[in-house]
Amino acid sequence: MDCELFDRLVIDRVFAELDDLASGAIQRHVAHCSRCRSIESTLRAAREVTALATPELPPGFVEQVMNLERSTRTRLPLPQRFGRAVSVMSGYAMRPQLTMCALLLLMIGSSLFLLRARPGDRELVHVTERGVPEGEVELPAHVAASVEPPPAASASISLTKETAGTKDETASASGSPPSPSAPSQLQEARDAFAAGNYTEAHEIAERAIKAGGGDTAQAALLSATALAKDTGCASALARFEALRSRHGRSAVGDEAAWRAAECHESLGQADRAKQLYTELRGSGIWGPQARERLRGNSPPAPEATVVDESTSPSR
Amino acid sequence: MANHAVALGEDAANPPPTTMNDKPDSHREGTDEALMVRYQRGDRNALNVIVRRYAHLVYATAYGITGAAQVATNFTQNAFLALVGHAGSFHIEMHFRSWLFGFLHQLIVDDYRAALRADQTPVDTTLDVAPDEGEPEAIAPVSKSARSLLLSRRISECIASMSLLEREAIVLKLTAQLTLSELATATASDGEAVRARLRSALERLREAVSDTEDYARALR
Repeated sequence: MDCELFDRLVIDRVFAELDDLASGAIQRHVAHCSRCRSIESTLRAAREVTALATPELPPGFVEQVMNLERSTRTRLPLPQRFGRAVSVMSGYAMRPQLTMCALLLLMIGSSLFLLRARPGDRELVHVTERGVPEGEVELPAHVAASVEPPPAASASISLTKETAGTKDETASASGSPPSPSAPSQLQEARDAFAAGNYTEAHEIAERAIKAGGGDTAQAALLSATALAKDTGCASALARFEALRSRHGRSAVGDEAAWRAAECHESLGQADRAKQLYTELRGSGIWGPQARERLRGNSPPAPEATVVDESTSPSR
Repeated sequence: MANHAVALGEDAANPPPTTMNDKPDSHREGTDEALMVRYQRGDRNALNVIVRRYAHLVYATAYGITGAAQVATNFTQNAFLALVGHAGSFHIEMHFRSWLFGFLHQLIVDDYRAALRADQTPVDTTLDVAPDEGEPEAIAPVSKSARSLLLSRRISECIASMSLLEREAIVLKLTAQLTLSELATATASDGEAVRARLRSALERLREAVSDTEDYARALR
């Protein structure tokens, strides 16, 4: 400690704002420095003697200030009011309870979002069967290949079947662009069917199925119907049943159900036929005929069918 | 400052109370900074507590600097209104006392500069004081109360003769009891400048009271 440093620190010491270390250093310095000792003592004495007047506050001063504050606040310009509102809201936003509540809601919301079911993923089903012995398959390969999903379905179903010693048959219900010749093939098959050339109609319809496109369901139904006409119901029954179960209450499904019922009836399986007629009671096209069949009558088939939209095949 | 600096003789005729027994309220209702934050959120009661806690201190400081009761009242009122107007800029990390007395400092300095511009007079940072009566009158061995009154007047005259910045520094230190760092913040000065002003003010006071019995007793 020297006199220069003392001069810088003496005010802090007089007002007792020095830490113990610096204060001790000054104490030791003034013990042997008369100049600094004199300065410190005179400044300290002046400080101790000085007592400033403290007047009384005018009465009602606080209320006056609060009234002025109220009037000032009501006269605040819009930006300042907005700033004050933001300040108030941010004050609330900084409260820990609100923060915890927001975090809890975020956790619940994210859990619901992450754990919810995803129907889109479940609708996309890929089924591949490889090396399955032919004897274990319920349906013949060409039947499975001809069965098409309903056009309205959004699912994509790819069914591949490989059997030992036989060629692969793959039916794609969607995704493949329709062959330009498919509609004409279907029409050609219909013409052959109408002309009573069931074998030809069956073959042409099979080609239409392999060509793909939006008419494959109708081609499959036509193929099965032609097969039934050509070789009998026993060979076509499985295809009718498959089409019925695949296409449900669509036009193709209803007609397949009707033809399956007829086949069952002709094969002596009255119960199954009755069951199918019962299912068809609600159908717009096949309902009246189905109800007639249930009553024991044998009404003709409807005029317009999927197999032949203009001409009903003779039964 | 000359326009509102009333001669000490006027106020000396109605001497203000000599002690400050009205300390700020205890902090039962929260710290100053917490109260300001509450007021920012719209709690006017918090402002009421702040005003009650500091009105007397601000007024006494303003009175010590200006030497006039009415002027001090106006400065005090305007300081609190400035606090209201700038409430949005307060942060909890700020030191409230420095912030509040900073408004008072700014108001006084602005008023002083405005007076200078209006008068076009040379810079005179001293208050109007009573006519110089020559050497300070010696304090005769009179009664204790009379001696105290005389000492008080000597101190008032000495403070009134100081420059504005010296006067402000010593009053803020002795009346508002700001620390040196708070004082530097409130007056927007660096610490060395504040220490120099305080030392100069104390030396002036020492000269003013050096022949008094109280000073001699304090010196011992």
